[in-house]
Amino acid sequence: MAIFLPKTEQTMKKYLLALLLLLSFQIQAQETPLSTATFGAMEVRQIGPATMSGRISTLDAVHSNPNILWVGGGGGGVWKSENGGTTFKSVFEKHTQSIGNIAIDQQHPDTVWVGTGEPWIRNSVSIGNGIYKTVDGGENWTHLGLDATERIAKVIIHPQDPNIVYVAAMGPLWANGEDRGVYKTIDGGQTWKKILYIDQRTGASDLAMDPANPEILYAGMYSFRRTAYDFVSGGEGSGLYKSTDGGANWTELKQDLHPGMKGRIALSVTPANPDVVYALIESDSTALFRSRNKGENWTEINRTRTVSERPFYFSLLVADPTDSSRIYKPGLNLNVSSDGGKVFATPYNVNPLGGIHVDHHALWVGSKDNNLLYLGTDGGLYTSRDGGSNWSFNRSLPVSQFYHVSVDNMRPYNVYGGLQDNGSWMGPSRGTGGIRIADWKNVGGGDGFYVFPDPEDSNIVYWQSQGGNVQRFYLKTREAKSIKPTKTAEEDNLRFNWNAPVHIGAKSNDLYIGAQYLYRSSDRGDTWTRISPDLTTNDTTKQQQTSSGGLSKENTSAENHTTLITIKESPLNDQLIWVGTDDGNLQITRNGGKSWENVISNVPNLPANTWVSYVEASHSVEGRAFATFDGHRAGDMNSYVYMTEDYGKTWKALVDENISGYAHVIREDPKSENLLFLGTEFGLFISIDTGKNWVRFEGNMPPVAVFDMVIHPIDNDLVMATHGRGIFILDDITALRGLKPEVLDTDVALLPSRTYRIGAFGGQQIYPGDDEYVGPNPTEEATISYYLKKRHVFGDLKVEVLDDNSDVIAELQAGKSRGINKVAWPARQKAPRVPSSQNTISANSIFGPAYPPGEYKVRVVKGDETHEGSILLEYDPASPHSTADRELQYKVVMDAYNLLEDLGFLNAQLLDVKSQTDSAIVKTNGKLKDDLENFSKLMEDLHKRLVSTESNQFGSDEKLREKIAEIYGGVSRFQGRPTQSQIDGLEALKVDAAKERTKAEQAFDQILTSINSSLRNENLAEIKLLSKEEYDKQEQ
Amino acid sequence: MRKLFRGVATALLLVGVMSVQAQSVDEILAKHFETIGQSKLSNVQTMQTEGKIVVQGLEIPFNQKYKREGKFYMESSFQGMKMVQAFNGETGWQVNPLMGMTEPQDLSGMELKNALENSDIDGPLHNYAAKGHKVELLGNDTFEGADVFKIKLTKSDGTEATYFMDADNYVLLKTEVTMVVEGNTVTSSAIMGNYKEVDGVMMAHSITTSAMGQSMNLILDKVEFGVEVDDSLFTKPGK
Repeated sequence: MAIFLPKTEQTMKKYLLALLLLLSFQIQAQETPLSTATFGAMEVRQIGPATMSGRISTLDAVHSNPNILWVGGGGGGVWKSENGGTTFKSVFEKHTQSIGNIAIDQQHPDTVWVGTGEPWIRNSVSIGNGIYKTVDGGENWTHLGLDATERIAKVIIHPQDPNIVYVAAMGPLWANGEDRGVYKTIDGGQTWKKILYIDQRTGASDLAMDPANPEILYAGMYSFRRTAYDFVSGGEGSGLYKSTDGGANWTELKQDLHPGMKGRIALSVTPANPDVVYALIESDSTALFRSRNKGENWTEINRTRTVSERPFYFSLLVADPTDSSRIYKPGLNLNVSSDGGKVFATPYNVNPLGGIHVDHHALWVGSKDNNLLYLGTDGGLYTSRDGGSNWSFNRSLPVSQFYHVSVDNMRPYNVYGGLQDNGSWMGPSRGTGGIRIADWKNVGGGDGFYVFPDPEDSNIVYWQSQGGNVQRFYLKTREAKSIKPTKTAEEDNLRFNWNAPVHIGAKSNDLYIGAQYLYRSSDRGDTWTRISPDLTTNDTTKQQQTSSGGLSKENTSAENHTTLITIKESPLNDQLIWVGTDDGNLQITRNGGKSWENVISNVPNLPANTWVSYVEASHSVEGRAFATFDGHRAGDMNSYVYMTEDYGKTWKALVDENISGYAHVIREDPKSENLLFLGTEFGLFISIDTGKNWVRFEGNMPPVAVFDMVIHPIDNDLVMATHGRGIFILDDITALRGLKPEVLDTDVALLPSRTYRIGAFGGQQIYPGDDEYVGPNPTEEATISYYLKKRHVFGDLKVEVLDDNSDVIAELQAGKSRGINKVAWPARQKAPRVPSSQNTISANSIFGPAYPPGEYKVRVVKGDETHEGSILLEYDPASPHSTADRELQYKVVMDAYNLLEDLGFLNAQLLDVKSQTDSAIVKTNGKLKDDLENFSKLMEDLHKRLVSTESNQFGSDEKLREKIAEIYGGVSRFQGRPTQSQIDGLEALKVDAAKERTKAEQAFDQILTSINSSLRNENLAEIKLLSKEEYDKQEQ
Repeated sequence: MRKLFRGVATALLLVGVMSVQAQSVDEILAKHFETIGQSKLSNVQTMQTEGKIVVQGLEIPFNQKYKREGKFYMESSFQGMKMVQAFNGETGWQVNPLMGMTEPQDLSGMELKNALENSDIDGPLHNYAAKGHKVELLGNDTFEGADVFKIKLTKSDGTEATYFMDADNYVLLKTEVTMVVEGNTVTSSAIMGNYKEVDGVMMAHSITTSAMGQSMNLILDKVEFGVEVDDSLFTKPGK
């Protein structure tokens, strides 16, 4: 292209003018920017599962009516039940999903406080953003500050004055910070005062109020810190405090307690005897203490493992509300003491066929009936009505925490993924009548992460538990083969991340796994080839996991560091592989691993050693890649998203102010390179211009953490692994592919639609009750998509489908949203106009036959404007039916259809003639009247031979309509070859129908002719036979 | 002293906000009724609508007749079978062979409440105070990408409705009605569009209704005012 250089002033002026014009055009072109409203009616499908549910961090119930139950998830938001847990409603859809503590105002149960940010500070814990209040039972929420506290462990409402509320804020986990300690409001949350603060590492892990004297408060202050490679529980700041003046003054309680360093503290004041206070105090000899005089003196009463295990995860004590000697200690298991804490035991027997999930974080005990218990675990909510002996699992809380997701190419396709403490699972993207608990299949144990179906063998699934324990699992036999790589004699010990990367190459189908080295296998993991040196920093100061834990040491692989964390083989070149490490190296090889280049230093404005959360190799340009980085484990909550066009030599930041949350994953649409999807801790973001602009996707999508995503290659669905709300599916992103930036400025634009597969969807007869979360199915109908610049209000807006002859075959109610609209077309012909009866309907012929495959014209009509496009219908290639069988099926269906329509017309003639006859009867007498009455009776008899007229709730008589419709329905419900009986049966019915027509025609020809002659003689109106034209004009 | 001052200031602010809101909800409604031609509608004594219900590819034709005060009749047919629902301002009846009701039966429960809701040609927002209803502006929101005013109406019987009114065009885009029927709270909604002028009155010609997880589309082909409607139509046959 030649570059135009202005030489004279004249041309300079012209040039400037042109530039101005161009500029104004560009400004105009950006008149309608991408916004959340652009996505219009597009919504994600939350398919659950609730099968294994997920971590419950807190719960509360109304003591006067324990059917009102509120549950908070570690990453799953707030759920409310008004029927004791039979059904739940998510009531916190617009807010952060990491929940710390829920407190119901027991005097005004519609007032509920939610402190956000989970207090169970495991490696995968999320963050909150302060405190919220509802006064209308969860319909509306007000954010009331404490934004930077990051996690709230306890909220206590003053029992007499609900405007006084105390908050135990733990504060930041990954960094120093002053937004922690005990806070108090006296004006219902309008203003807060920090009433107890220790230091920048120490927050409040628990708070308890004396129910007899609300001025007396006890606070457990806890020093804690996590990094990506270490956890320290306990420190100089930890201690037990008491106030007797509503928090104005505090005294540290040391009398009788261990003198050394303390860690996390849990508290419980016995409601039945408030003199008795319990404190579970982490130290180098963690123990349970009891005071009988409101904390003045303490006695150590228990230091067994039951009370001392994993304080950072299990510091919870719940005193029975009515029995002063009974106290519960939820933990790995639920334990209860009936002697004031001296001896603990589980209240249940181990049931090998049932049982409850381990790892307990929330417990509510009824005060009207202390045998009623609600228990929150890493695997959901359980209810006991017999004091903990037996439990029912709540099946309606889809708060599952997925780490990763993948899909297969089955019909319908399956979704695979691993979850926090709930193993590895697969389930269908569509079930019969919805996706049910029974549709999900467990394929692996432990904590679950990457799960993949083998690309070639549908019997094989790869899964892994924490620390790289990857397995090849055979679905048919449920046998698992450990295929974890082992080190050679010369190599260092292998370092696998908690969430070690497993990958299947899109180009090669090879299996990869990352330790500090990258391994590749082309025989399903039987043989691994190490194809890299240590790709990490190998910083040994960050390899201290065996000494991690602070006062309570543990080594679970959760703090494993300097490891690989993400792997991506280019879909265009199987020798080009990207690897990201948790310690901030970004490595590329272009020769299958012979040489590697660390390109991290080319990434601008990124703090050193930032966790590389994801690398996406482009599907369209080999040198292009996208990378996300996640610094939250170093206290850096920024969103980092970058793109390279030159194999990593240079990187460009792709973030704008619309993105929030540290970034976990970015995916490029394989079929439209400008379309990008970004998952962060706070939701899903979409760009249609290769990352220049981003907007949050809000259609049925809470701001939940999106950990992983995959785009289905055939169905074109975006499938998301959320860490707290299960699997979300954004069905059919085809419309987004047509949403180029220039489209946004057009008033109406038809968008591409995915090819509709003529399907058989089946049914089932089950009555499972209401207590199960059932994931919604995708639409069974063809979908037509279009874009509206504004919400349509005035005048016509309709969608029409046309056949080859340009005849309108369907008029559809058009969606009118601003942005993308999706209108469903059932792709069925009109139902046959069957013989009518005033008492019965023909259930077998409610629906019309499916339209055959082909291209159908689609028209969006808005006022005078018409926009045309098309939609393709095709048979499912996976269907077992041959074209010949389908054609025969269509012929038989249409034969039956036409027969029903013929009889429908005949029936209408009979009823119409009868009606005219009946009108004439009253005007006549004598023989004519008798003739008319007989004729009317004949018409009715003939009508009753065509169609069932006997109404009965439990079945009716069967006439021609019912017999033909049975064959019509039977043949149309199965897409393949009809049975010979159906074909022969229909032929026999054609003969029967012809006989009825002959009888009717004889009556019209002979009797009616004679009657009309008599009517003429009496100067009365003749009885006319309804014509086909008149019938067609009538409404059905 | 400072606390007192702050309290007074807050109270003043609240009063200010409330009075602005109280004023503007009536202002909004006035604009709405001007836009839709309420003065003309108020003179309408009878109304007839014809159209079809489109659900899952089925088309069910219907015909509705309205007459002041509060009389309503709807006829629809499926496979030629006729279904009727009628309301005479106080009581109603229906024939619905699909549900096994081949003889006229009295409306009750939710059906009766719905009939009562439907029968008011003007809708409950018009002259709400005279009708004993309370109206409150909940604030601004968006609906289907349009800026809307959210207006809450509370009836004396406890039925609550939320109206989403287009903030640019002053027509209703959505109505949500919550009623308690036999102890259960039931919410139903209607989304309106394709507004067209009929004899000076702006009428929605496209309505999508949803209740209890089911939704259906109503397309109005024809709206007429001043048609002949005999009172006998509303009377339960056989009485």
